[in-house]
Amino acid sequence: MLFSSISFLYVFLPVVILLYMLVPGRGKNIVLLLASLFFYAWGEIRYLLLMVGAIALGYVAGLLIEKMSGRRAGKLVLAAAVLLCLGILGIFKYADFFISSFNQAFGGALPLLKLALPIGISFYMFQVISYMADVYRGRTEAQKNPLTLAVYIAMFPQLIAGPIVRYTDVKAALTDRQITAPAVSEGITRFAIGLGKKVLIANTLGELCAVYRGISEPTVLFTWLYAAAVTLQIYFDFSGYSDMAIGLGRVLGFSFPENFRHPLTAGSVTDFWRRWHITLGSWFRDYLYIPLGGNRVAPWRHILNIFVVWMATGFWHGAGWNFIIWGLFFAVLLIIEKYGLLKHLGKWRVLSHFYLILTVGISFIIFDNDVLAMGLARIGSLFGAGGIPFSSAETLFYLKDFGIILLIAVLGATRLPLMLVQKLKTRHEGAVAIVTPFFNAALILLATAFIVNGSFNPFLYFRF
Amino acid sequence: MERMRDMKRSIGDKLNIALAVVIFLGLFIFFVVKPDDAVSLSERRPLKTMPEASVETIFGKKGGSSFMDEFEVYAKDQFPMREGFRTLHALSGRYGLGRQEINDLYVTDGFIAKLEDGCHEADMVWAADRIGAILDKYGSDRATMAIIPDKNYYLAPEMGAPALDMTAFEGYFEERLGDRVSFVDLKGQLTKDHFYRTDSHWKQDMLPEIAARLLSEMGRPAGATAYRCERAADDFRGVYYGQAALPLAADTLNYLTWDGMENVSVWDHDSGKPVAMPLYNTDKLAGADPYEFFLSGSKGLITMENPAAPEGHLVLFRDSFGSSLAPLLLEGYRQVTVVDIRYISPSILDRFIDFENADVLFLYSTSVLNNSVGQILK
Repeated sequence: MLFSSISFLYVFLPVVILLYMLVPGRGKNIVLLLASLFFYAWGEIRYLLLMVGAIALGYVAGLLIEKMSGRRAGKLVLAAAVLLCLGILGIFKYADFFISSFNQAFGGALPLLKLALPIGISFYMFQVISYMADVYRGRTEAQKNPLTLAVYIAMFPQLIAGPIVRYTDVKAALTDRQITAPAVSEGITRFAIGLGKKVLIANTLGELCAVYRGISEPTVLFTWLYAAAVTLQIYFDFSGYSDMAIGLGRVLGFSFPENFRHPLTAGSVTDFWRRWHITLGSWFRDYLYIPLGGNRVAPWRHILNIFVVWMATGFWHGAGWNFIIWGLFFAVLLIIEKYGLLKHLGKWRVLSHFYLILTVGISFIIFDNDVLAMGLARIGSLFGAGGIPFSSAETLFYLKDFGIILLIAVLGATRLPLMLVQKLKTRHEGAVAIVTPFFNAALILLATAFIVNGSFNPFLYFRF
Repeated sequence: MERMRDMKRSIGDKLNIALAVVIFLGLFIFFVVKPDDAVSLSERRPLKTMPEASVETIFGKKGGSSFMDEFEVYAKDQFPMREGFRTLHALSGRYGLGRQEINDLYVTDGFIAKLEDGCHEADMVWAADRIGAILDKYGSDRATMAIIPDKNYYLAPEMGAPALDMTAFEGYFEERLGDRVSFVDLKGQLTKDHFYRTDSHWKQDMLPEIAARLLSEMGRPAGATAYRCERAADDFRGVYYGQAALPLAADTLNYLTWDGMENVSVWDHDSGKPVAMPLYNTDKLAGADPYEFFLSGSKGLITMENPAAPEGHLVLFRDSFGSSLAPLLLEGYRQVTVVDIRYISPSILDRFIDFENADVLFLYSTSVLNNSVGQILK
């Protein structure tokens, strides 16, 4: 169930929030767990057992690791449990990728498993791993109440698209949380903004990308439009989802970590990755990069560590060569920056930003094209490869068609809206407090209109 | 001052929560109590009804989709005030986001038109094959073909919108069928004003010259009839009106009469037996698609006789555009047989039609020829 669906917004959400608010004290966790399991089952009921299994694994392994703390057995339990998590992830997410790659490389004919990808598996498996690792490192004690741990792992707001919430982030709130009117109101505002970002901006930009993918004669200008649209679409889609998750968390009494901080305003790839999908970046830093030795090793090993981490980051995003190359592309850029370029980037702000936008734009073309050759051809089209024309009547039509939404998206990706709101709040805080609810209501209703229009499906026989 | 600010913040928080409750809970309750609608008049299609919940549909994918997939389709189709939300989408898209087209429909100079996405080779091959098969089976050596460009062809230049390459499109059919069929090029004779503003079709009151051209190309007498323009409805909201979901002015639906029209007989053969029907069906004006006023809309096989016309038989293979043109072809033929092969198989036509000495006219719009595979032409 997507947050931007009628089933979620106008059936699941009102019923669950109503029950949640009506049930007192610890009953809230039961409502939250049942709602989360229902939410998960709605997406793929057959994999509910997998979710329950992940919870059981985390619970048992956590207790065992704590019990064997400081002993070799504890490490073994952690290693076995992590391998099990990665094994499950490997089977459900990556098996067909490995099989088809093997078949292509060696001319084999191994049959594909064709398993449907369990929803949110990459997120909740990482949460389970981080929980067990934190227990092993003594950062937290193991949760004794399986219900509480289940609520943490299965909690529906962050289940399918993050942020990757660590157990230590929400440990206190899992058993004792305050639901206050300001927090709920803040959550509603954040949710409405996220919904608007996803439905009004990301989905509309998705239409432009779809038009570009369907044209038979690309132009240089249209390819740049596509590069801008796909970059902004992915940003608004993902950060919109994170906003909705954080907002829902606030309504339910939790504080989830921030996941995006205006990444497209960064001046370097290093800075970009401090602002983009922050919880994933910090997860890989803490649970892979640092255990590998981080930067406190010989340069060759440091470079290797970066390659390993970024290959894993790319692979985490999807089971395809384009994702691996996307990750490695960033690895190369980060290495170049760490070993020299970063010092110079700070001196030339405009140039640095241009470099960042160009490299990120190219990276998202790779990300968006599961056929690598197609991605490379489109990158070539940015620079007129193949002698394609610079523009065409069709290109100009779609530039006009999507021009305003592109402009809104570009401005929306900067700090400008936030600065504007802060300035308004400083001068007219009372008025902002009164206007915000109406702004939110308008956003929600507009987003609803866009979602409902998604059912537009004229009968092909309308000409009789 | 600080107290006042706190108070406003508190009021704002409560207002925010209250509005969210009204929207989410209010629309949820409305959704639950509202009876399901059967059809969407604007999209001319039945709306999804509540899907069947069973072990098979919940745990499996019956017919490729599960209960959960179907429920979302149902929820969108049956959402309260759906048409209002669609209008809100169209208005905000057009005036808020400056979109040139919404759902591939754009408005220019008061006309609504649909974007075309280029030549669909597979559909063109299919359509040419079907027409070729008819010529093979019935062996007519007096066949003519005319292709009606989409309204977009005339409006796209104003918008800078992409349009079908009509020369290439017609060229394909001429190449495939040119040795067996005479082609009449209508694109230069039509203009945007030949089309309704809110509908995809052409206006009958603008067609006498087109009919005369086709008749004369087929060697028949034409251009002598004095048509009178009558008004059937002045609030005709065509198929694009509902789809665009924008508040635009309605069209006037006119039709043509002539002296002696009352002697024309029209027969519907879809039931297997000839049933008399009117040339212009006023009952249809109140229906979902008032354009069905012309020859009663979707019919597989219609025969028309005009005793005042010279001897001769025309078999007209057509789509809905032919419904409004066909009456005007009665000027040149005593008998006109109107065939829509979307509703009757061409293989059984010889049971009903004598092709001996008949002229054959294939009159199709680009939108049908370019979307023909598996659904348009049988």
